[in-house]
Amino acid sequence: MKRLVELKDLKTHFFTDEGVVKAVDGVSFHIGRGETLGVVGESGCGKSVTALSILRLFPSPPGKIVGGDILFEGKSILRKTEAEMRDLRGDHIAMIFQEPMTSLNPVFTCGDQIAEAIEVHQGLSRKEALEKAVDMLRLVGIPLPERRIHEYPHQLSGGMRQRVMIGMALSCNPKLLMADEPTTALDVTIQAQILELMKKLKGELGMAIMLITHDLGVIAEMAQRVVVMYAGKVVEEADVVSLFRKPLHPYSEGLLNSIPRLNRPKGRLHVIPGYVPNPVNLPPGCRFGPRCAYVEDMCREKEPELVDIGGGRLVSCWVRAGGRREEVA
Amino acid sequence: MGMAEQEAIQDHKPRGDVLVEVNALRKWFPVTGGIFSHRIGHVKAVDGVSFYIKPGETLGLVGESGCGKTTTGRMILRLEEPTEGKVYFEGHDVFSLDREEMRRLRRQMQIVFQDPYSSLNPRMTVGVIVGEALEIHGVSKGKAREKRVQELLDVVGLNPNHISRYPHEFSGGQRQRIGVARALALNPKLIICDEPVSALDVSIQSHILNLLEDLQAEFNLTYLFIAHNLSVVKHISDRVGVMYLGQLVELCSSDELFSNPLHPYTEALMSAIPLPDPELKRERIILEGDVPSPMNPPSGCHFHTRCRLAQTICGEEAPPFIDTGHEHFVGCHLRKAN
Ligand SMILES: Nc1ncnc2c1ncn2[C@@H]1O[C@H](COP(=O)(O)OP(=O)(O)OP(=O)(O)O)[C@@H](O)[C@H]1O
Ligand SMILES: Nc1ncnc2c1ncn2[C@@H]1O[C@H](COP(=O)(O)OP(=O)(O)OP(=O)(O)O)[C@@H](O)[C@H]1O
Ligand code: SF4
Ligand SMILES: [Mg+2]
Ligand SMILES: [Mg+2]
Repeated sequence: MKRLVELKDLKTHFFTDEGVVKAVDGVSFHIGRGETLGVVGESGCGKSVTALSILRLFPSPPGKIVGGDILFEGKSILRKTEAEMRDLRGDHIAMIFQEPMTSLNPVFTCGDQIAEAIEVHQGLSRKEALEKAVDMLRLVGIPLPERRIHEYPHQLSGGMRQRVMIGMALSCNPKLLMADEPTTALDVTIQAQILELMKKLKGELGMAIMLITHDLGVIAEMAQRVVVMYAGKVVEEADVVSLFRKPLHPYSEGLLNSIPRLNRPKGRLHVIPGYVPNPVNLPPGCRFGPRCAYVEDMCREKEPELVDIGGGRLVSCWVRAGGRREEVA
Repeated sequence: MGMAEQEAIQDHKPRGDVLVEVNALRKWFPVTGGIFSHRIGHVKAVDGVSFYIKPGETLGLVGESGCGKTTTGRMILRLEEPTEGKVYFEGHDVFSLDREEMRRLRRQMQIVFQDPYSSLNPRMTVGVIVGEALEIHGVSKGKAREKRVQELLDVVGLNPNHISRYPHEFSGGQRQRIGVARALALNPKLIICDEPVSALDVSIQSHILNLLEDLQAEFNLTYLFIAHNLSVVKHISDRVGVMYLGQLVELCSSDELFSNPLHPYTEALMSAIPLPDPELKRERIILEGDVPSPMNPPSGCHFHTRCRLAQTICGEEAPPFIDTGHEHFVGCHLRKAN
């Protein structure tokens, strides 16, 4: 699979009064053309900031990319001008967020908002753009789209609004769709509709998807490859089947073991002791060390690197993968 | 509701073997509109719900947003007066109690809320939050109260020395523990857990679920556990009720519900859960459209507009909620007792 996006040792930090928040602190991964990459991890581990960095849309100040690079189709986006970034955002990369209400403008009709996006980026007339907007709403499964384009966001249900967001995001045939918790605010039956829709559209339009979620069920259902993040770092990367069969990083293992399963007998749930560290004050050595059941002296002293152990699997752990590149090579 | 039904509720004798019994409970919220705020209709939040909870068991309540789970829980606690119907607690008709009797009953029933961030007063210390109920009910004061609060903090796995800290000094999971300690303060018999882990990360969620189970075993607690995450509900519940648009559509043991769902809505709900197993291949039942408005629920079976099995009768008559055997209740014209 050809690489569409590549993050190389990306570091996005926030310079706040309390100190430097190392929200994204040396993250590397890639997304292939037409591939669905899942990004999982608990609250605050840097998933959203990673996505926003790709679009250069995080608040700055206080945020700043202090290291690394992001390549889109082989070219660094960090060297692009603001105008070039705007083109990239409209034409090639689209993003949908968790709460569609906050990202849709309440004073414009849904049709206007989609048409606006189409007009700006595809140079169509208003009339053509509105026609395309109707097509988009039909594509995302909104009944009576001719009528719906005249409605305002608050007149739609949560599921409908998320469909409108997806319609808007896809109206320019992006090569990459970044979906940040696209179904977290929705009920399960509506979530099932939206996930099904995303799969169908992906099949039809052939775009790549970066799917951010903390729901391991959603990941299992949608993703081909998965990146597990912890405290601003990637701790494991693997294809979805291998990861769920045998997670290697102790954090991935802990996450997968702590969710209740429908097909397993009851009993006590596995717990990961302790809490996610304060990003201003990270522990020395392995960031997961203070919560890890396998921790050794080495872990407390030096931070393990993300090591390629073959078969498309990367793990950052002294115990499970040696933790150092040169030792493996 | 017909006369016969009215009389049935009046004549109902509470069961002796259960802790809580809910009988034909309804809550219609008036909806006003226009410049003179006329009543233009009702939100039928809870529309004829009956069930019981045995002592020491956990009854799960699931269903999509707005189906009436929280309103049902609030009526059991009498935080909300019903439009119709009864709630019995240990055989006492809750809505007929006077203030003093209600005050005594309150000690037996507590609630833990979904949002550990907004359900705790940010200006109160943990000691005050957890000890407040002890003060209101005049249970203990001074040093004795402080000791009891520290005991409670210890029980829920918090450091007893953190008694003078404020909520913002705790993480989400720790704050939920504070909420649980507060609920435990008066040794209640029933705790209504309204989405207690929905706002928490998975690794924190498992801590709280384990804690709730430990406490239940230790203090013989009875739970009404409200949630929309079916895996969580299955894990913690002995029996589960499924709600749709203000009504129970299915109610049975947790194992039975997940291995043999009878209501078409339950089936769809089950198949919609994304399961953490990428190698699992299964047929999905995707429900079309949205949940209809509770102001104007569909005639007959509320689910008929989205049901793949719907027949003519489903749009015309409300199906009875019947026991198909082994206390497996279902409200569907196509699922009859065997
Ligand atoms: N504007 C900001 N200023 C300061 N810190 C920030 C800012 N935005 C994010 N952060 C911090 O960066 C870290 C990563 O945040 P991010 O939003 O990427 O987490 P996330 O993995 O998306 O979490 P969630 O699952 O809760 O959405 C967090 O510690 C967060 O507090
Ligand atoms: N005080 C109120 N006034 C008017 N309508 C109300 C009131 N409280 C609840 N409702 C409505 O009653 C219905 C049931 O609400 P309820 O909060 O019980 O649902 P729920 O099942 O707990 O949903 P969720 O999963 O979103 O918490 C909803 O349509 C809600 O908007
Ligand atoms: S490096 Fe050590 S502390 Fe970190 S996850 Fe591996 S075993 Fe645990
Ligand atoms: Mg986020
Ligand atoms: Mg609720």
